[in-house]
Parts: sequence; C-alpha cells; structure tokens
Amino acid sequence: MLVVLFICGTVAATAAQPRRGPPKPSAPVDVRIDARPTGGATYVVTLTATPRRDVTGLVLDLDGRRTVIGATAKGQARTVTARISLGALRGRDIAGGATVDVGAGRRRAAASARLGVAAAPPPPVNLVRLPDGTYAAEVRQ
Amino acid sequence: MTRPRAPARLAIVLALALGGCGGDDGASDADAGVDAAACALPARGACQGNVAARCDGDELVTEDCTATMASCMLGEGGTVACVDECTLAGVTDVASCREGATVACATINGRHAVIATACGFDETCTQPASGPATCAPGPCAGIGPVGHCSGDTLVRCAAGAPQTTDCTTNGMVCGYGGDATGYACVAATPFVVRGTVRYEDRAPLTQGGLGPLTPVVARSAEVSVVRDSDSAILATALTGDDGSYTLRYTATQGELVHVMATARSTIAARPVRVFRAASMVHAFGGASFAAAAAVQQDLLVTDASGVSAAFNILDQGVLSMDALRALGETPVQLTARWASGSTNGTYYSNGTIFMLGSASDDDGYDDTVILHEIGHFVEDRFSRSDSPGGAHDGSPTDPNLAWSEGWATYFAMALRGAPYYMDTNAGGGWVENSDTSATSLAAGATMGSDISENTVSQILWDVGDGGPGDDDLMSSATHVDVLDVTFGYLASATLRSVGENGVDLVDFLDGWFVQHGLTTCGGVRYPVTTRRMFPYDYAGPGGACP
Repeated sequence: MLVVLFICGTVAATAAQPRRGPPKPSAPVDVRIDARPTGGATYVVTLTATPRRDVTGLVLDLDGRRTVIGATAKGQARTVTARISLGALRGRDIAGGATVDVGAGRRRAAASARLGVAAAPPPPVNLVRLPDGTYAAEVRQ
Repeated sequence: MTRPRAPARLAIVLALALGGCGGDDGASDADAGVDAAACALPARGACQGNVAARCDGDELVTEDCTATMASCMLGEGGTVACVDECTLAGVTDVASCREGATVACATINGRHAVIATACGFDETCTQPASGPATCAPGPCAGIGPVGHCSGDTLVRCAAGAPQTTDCTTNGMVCGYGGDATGYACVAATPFVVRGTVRYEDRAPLTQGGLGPLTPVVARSAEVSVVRDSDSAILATALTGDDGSYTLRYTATQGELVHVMATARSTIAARPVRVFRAASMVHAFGGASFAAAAAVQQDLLVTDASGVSAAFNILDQGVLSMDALRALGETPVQLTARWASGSTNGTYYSNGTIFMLGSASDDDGYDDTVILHEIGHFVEDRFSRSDSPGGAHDGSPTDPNLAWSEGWATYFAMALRGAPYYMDTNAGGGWVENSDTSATSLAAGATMGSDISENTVSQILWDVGDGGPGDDDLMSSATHVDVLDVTFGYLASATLRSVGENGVDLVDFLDGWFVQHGLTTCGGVRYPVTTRRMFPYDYAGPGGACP
C-alpha cells in the first residue's frame, strides 16, 4: 500500500511540473569569474573558461582586455587574470567572457562578479490587485 | 520616437530568379551531363543547368532556356520546358501589388524572374494610378486594434482605413469602452487623465552589444488609474499603438491618484502578459496627482526602475501576435517570465517563455532571443515539435532538436525582417548572420545525419528572403511562404519516413514542395544542396524535382 501511494505521489508531482524546454542557443564553453581581495580596494580577478567540446578558436576577455588563446581541447581550463583597483568607487561590476568558434560562426558565454560593496537594492514594489484578481508588482517613478 | 518593429520588407520572389532546374551558378551547358547516345532521360525530360533536355525517340533534344530569357522547369503537362517566369506569372517590369507584396519582372543572369518584396506585417501594398506599387506603413499604423482618442475625437481603424468620430456631436466623450470594443464614444465621467506611455529600450546591435537607452511607445499596454490611499483601481484601459491612453474615472475631487502601466495586453488580438513572479505582472506607476477634471500624465518606464525590459518583452509579444493574425492564426495566451536578477535560464515551457535577467546575461532587451523563445511557443501551439530537448551550441546535433531551434531562430529573424540572431551578455555577446553564413554538412552526410541549428536557420532565411540585394540564388519565396509551411504542412501532415523520425528539415522541404510546387526546385537546390550540402533527395510527397 505504501508503494502504491508513493507512485501516485510521484505521478502527481510530475504532472504538476511541465517539461522544461531546451535552453536558448548557447556557447559550448563554461565561464567563471573569481575575485580575491588583496588589500585596500584592489582585487585579483581570474576568468576561467572550460570548453565543453574541442574548439578551434578561443578568445577570453576580462574587464575589456582581450586575450587570444586559440585551439583548446574539451575540458581544458584556460584562465586570464587581472589586478583591478576600485579606485574611488565603493563597488563595481566586472564582466568577462569567452568566445569560441562554432562551425562558421562564433558564440560567447559571459560571467560577471561584483567587487566591493553590493549594488543598490532594486526599487521597492507596491502590490496592486487588478480587476481580474491578478497582482501587479508596481514600481513607482 | 518609435523604432522599427516589423520587418521593413519581407522579400519574396514568386518564381526562380536564378539557378534554373538544378543549376548552381546560372551557367548553362547544352550537353552537360546528358548521354546523347543512350538518351536515358525520364519521360518528362530533365533540366541540365538551364537547358531543357528530353528524348524524342532515341534522339536527344535540348533547348537552352537562357537564349529566350526563360528558365528550365516543369511546364504545362508535367514535362520539362523553357518557361518565361514573368509571362507565366503575368508580371511586368512595373511593380504591382499581389497578396501583400510588390511584384515586378527583372532580368537576372540573363533570365526573366519575378521579383516580389513582401510588405511588413504593419505595412500594406499601395498601387498608384500610374507608377510602381510600393509597401508603406498602413493607413492604420499607430492606431492598432483598440484605436485611441484625440481629445474627444475617436480614432479607429475600420476596413483598413482610419475613421474619426467626433463624440461630442452625440453629447458624449471619447474614452475606453472595454477590451471588447476598445476606445469608443462613452458617457462623460467627472475626471479624465490622458497621456502617452513610453519605455526605455536598448536595441540589440548587429556588431554585438546593446544600443543606448531610447524611449519607445508602449503598444497595447494596460493602464490604470490607481487611488493612492488604498491602491484601488478606478479605471482601466489599453494604450493605442501610438502609446496614447485616455482614462475616465470617478473619484473625490483633489484626492491623490496616479497612473500605472502594466506589462500586459488583455485584448483577444494580443493576449500577452509579462510576469515578474508567478501571477504577478510587472507594472510601473507614475507620479501622484490630485484628481481633477482633466490631467495630462505621460509615463516613461525607466531602465532604472527594473521594469522597462518587461515592456520590451510585451512589445515582442505584440509583434508576434500581429504576425500570427496576419498569417491567419487566432492568437492564444502567451505568458512571459522575466525579472531583473533572475538566473532561472531562458527557455520555453508550456505556454510560458522564461527569460534570464542575471547580471552576466540579461535577455530583457535581447529581441531576437525573446522572439526565439516565442518561436517555440508558436511551434508548440500552432505547429509541431519533436525536439528531444537538451543543450545546443551550433554544433551538429539531433535533427529534430536542430529543426526546432533553427526554426525558432528563423522565426525571430523573419518577424524582424533581418537575418541576425543577437544575444548580448556582460561585456559583449554574439551575433549570427544567417544570410551570409554557410554552415555546411560534412561530405557523406545523409538526410538523417546530425545537423547544426545554424544550417536550418540559414536555409530557411535564404529560401524566404529575396528582393533587391538578395545574395542567394533562391529568390522565389517570401518569409510568409516559409512560415505557411510550418502552420500548414508540418502541423497536420503525415511525415515521410526518411531521415530522422519526427519533424526536421527534410519534412519542411517536403512540405515546401507540397505547398509551393516544383517550380522552385532549382532555387531551393542552391541554399540547401549547393551552399550547405544538405543531401535532400528532392523526391518528397510534392513530387520529384526535374
């Protein structure tokens, strides 16, 4: 009896959650940014790119600086590092990415990291009930 | 300011511009490939380049079609012949209107070709008394399904033309009469607030990245008068296609209210809503003001509010719904989920598109990514998909997955009238140009081999594009023709058991020749076989190409 109940519960849970479709077109590379504070307002930031398949071309970019790597085997991690100072800023977003050749084209995956203090919180939301019962998450001007 | 939403031109050509029956470069060679001694040709004859060849007994008879500016194709009676496409179509060198497109005869590579340029979804073909026909924004541009008010003058679109009504002649005023009627002449209320809703947009750039923040009008966005004290809704309307709204309401004189724009369209023609979370729609509220007889309140939904991208997603949904209606379909509810900071991924599931909003990858302004996911919605609700799912990165993959993804990308391109797929992310992004790229299959590939989604979108684009400047030899169709195969053949046909089981590029090509005939054989061969080496057999249910 317990087994039957367990199966029914599984079916119900599956039915309630529709199948998630394929993700959007992507680049065959995983990208990660790690930041390590080195004192003061300075950080050592490392971008790591790991292709998910053999690629004939790999270009890394970090904080606007571009590094051409070239052919890279599947699973082989490639990194670039930059020393970044916030200067007068209290916080800053750092972006980086990896561009790979795919057939006749190129695709890019990106990562970002926040250095220093967190970004400003999003504006507050006011809930407004619409005539059909739906709630509107209102952000005021 | 509005930025172009619908394709400026959906280019089409109604017959082969180049390529003849199987030629790949327009060159002709009267005896190329023909065994004169045996004269072993099908009874209907064959096209060799642009040469019509047939057997008369044991004697080989050839006719170089280029000599008469004709094209080799199946003619009357189902036999191969030299056919002047312009004569066949009844088209002259002066453009005329035909089925929402301009069509004209041109000479390309020594042959007459019917060149048609389909009008965008928000355009109409206009034929002046003398001179060529042109595509131009329709007379109802800026009005839309609900119309709008200009003071107390009602502006509606009726039978394809603007129609104005002075409501005061009947002792009434102009206001919103509900979603079923849109703006109408209504009874007066104590207070009215009018204005225009715009949102800050960032258009994707073909060189990568996003353009600057630019205000654009919000079409079909729900607007409400909200009482500040208790957030009660006092009146609701939709914006017209010029972004304008008129809200008539009753309140206590002087009490504080404000206008709220909501990222949803509630009319049957454009059922789109953009949720921030489950059943919670994005909204933006303007400054408070005291209820008074007449107030002007323009809203600009700012990027800083974290809401403007939701209105951009709404606008892509509106564009898609308009296209669906133009293609003869009845829109159904589309739900989008996006929120700034969301890391849930970008994908489609069960009537809802989910869009990333993360710091490293925010798709809120990525129009082609949004339309790609809406393409999956359209495929799911109006056509057919057998995609097994899974990641896809442009490399050769399962043909069903490649078809679904390539078609969704093509859908985005066709609706925008531009061959670019643009996905921005932190610090840049990537762009695919399906018109200039050629992702070919490897030698020895079969119809069931793994294939890149890029190959699919490139072939679809090249089949559907045309008009002046077309860089491929297939100029005989429109994007509407391509989409029609999706909604027609693929949605209901019993598919041929070749290649991969389930819908793939083979089935589209089968459907193409079923719906559009074999006169396009030569043109289709160029983008499919010559340029991208897809080994289609040209022997589907529509017949065998000559």
